[in-house]
Amino acid sequence: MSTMTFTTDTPIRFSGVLASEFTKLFTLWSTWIIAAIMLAASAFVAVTEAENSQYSAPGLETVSGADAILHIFWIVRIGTQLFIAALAVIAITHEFSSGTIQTTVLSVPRRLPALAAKVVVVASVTTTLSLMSSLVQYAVTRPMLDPVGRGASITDPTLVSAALGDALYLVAVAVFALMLATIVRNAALAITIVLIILFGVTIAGPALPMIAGVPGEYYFLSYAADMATLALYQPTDVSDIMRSLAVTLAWIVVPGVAASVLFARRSV
Amino acid sequence: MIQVEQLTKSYRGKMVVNNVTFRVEPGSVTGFLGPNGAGKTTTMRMLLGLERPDSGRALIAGKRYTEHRAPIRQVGALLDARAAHPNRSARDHLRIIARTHGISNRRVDDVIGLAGLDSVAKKRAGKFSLGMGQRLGIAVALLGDPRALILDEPVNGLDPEGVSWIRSLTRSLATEGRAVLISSHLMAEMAQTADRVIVLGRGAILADEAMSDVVSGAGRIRARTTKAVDLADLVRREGAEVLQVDVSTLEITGMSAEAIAEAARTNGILLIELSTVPISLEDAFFKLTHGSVEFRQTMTTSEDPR
Repeated sequence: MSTMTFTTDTPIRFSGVLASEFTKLFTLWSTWIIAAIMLAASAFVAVTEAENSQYSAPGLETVSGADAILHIFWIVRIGTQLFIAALAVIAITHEFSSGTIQTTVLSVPRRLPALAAKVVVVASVTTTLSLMSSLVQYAVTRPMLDPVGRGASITDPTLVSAALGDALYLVAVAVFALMLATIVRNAALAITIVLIILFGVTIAGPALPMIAGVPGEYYFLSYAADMATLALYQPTDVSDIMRSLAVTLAWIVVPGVAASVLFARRSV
Repeated sequence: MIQVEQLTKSYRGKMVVNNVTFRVEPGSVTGFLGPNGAGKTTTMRMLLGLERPDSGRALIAGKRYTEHRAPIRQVGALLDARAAHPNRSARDHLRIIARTHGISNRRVDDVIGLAGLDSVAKKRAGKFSLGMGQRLGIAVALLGDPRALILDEPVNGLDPEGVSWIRSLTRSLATEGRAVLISSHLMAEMAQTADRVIVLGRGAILADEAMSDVVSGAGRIRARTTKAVDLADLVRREGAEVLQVDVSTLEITGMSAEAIAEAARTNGILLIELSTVPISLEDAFFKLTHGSVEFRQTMTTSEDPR
């Protein structure tokens, strides 16, 4: 039968909750599948874009050095944000759909450390995947871009800054998606809303009126986060950076507060 | 010790748990009975901090569940045997919970063995039968080697060997000094397992008694005498109900053995036997919960009697 194995009641520590959340994500096949598809898709899109650069090389003399690969990074990120959003959404919704959320809140009854640990896990995995994606894109396109004079060193500061900027952009998207999914508790609904918000700027953005003296599309998450991270490797107006940062933070903090309150109080 | 004080909970104006108070002492198994919708699961969920009571307190070792520094070391709970991700192995499910409290993988393997899941520890939980799921739920409950256990319908889906295992496990855990609160619909099983019974009906406590009192207190008195007809008339006049079993034996309800003996002595009736007829827990349960059942089957006949 059961025997008294423990001599002390070790209290719950955040490091333990974090380890638990990492184990959760890494013990699901869906995590690995999404990551593998994302990296493969990154490589495929990067190669396709590099081919376009090669063929159009004579007409694009101004594009040189890191510019070609920066453009590829930007194009690929449009797609990778979908995978990252899906990964962030399932990090919480799989718990609601499988009923394991009950086990989570019984293990961490104050609840908020569990949500904070999820944020850290999602942000860490997103950063890692984003940097891996950038590395994959660089590796597959370098042999194609070098011969046409558009290659760049992997240590090129602009390239490194752009890769970090992409990672930060995707972390913003991931945390927003996680918070939204915590509120709606349904994977399909959360992903749909995230898609509308991320791509709404493309569809409805230009038609939006000016708000507080700036175009309405500037208040979309994707536009603001893009502008904020662009400042890492391109000269940008300080007021634009501050506004973009504020808008990006608002997209994270407002749903974050709502998600925290609901996660702490709702029955599971 | 598990302690519930004047616990009340309602949903959209409907009272689900109404001023419920009870205690589960260490070293005992307490059965938690009641028809569907009686409020058992809601009470257990409030004990575990999954629901907020409208009023009252639910304490474990003197604190609310959420106030414990290491809650799964205080209470092990089984509420839903299906609360495991279908694509995750049983061992990984346990490892995830263990990590939060710094519990070692060795303990994880110990409880897997204890629950009889060694051969399926790496199998996906989605492939488990309900019985295997219950065993996994029990393993989760035991993971922190807790001082109290709250088990909601732990024998659901278990085969006879599994039911027997739960019985001996819960008895053994209580013998080790733990407080065990267990709900079940299997009355015969509960009668063999529990020391004490709490019966809920429509959210209120209908009985909170030692098992021995429940199965005997509501029972009938068997009286054997050479003057059965005379004794029957006598006790009927005292307001008791009488069933004549045979020429010399009566079963009397509504009167204590002492009162029957006194009435017989006063009237010169010789009693050959006077004993309590034990009733089953099931009979006692139905008697207690009559009128508290939310959903009752209505018997109909296929033919019109006319």
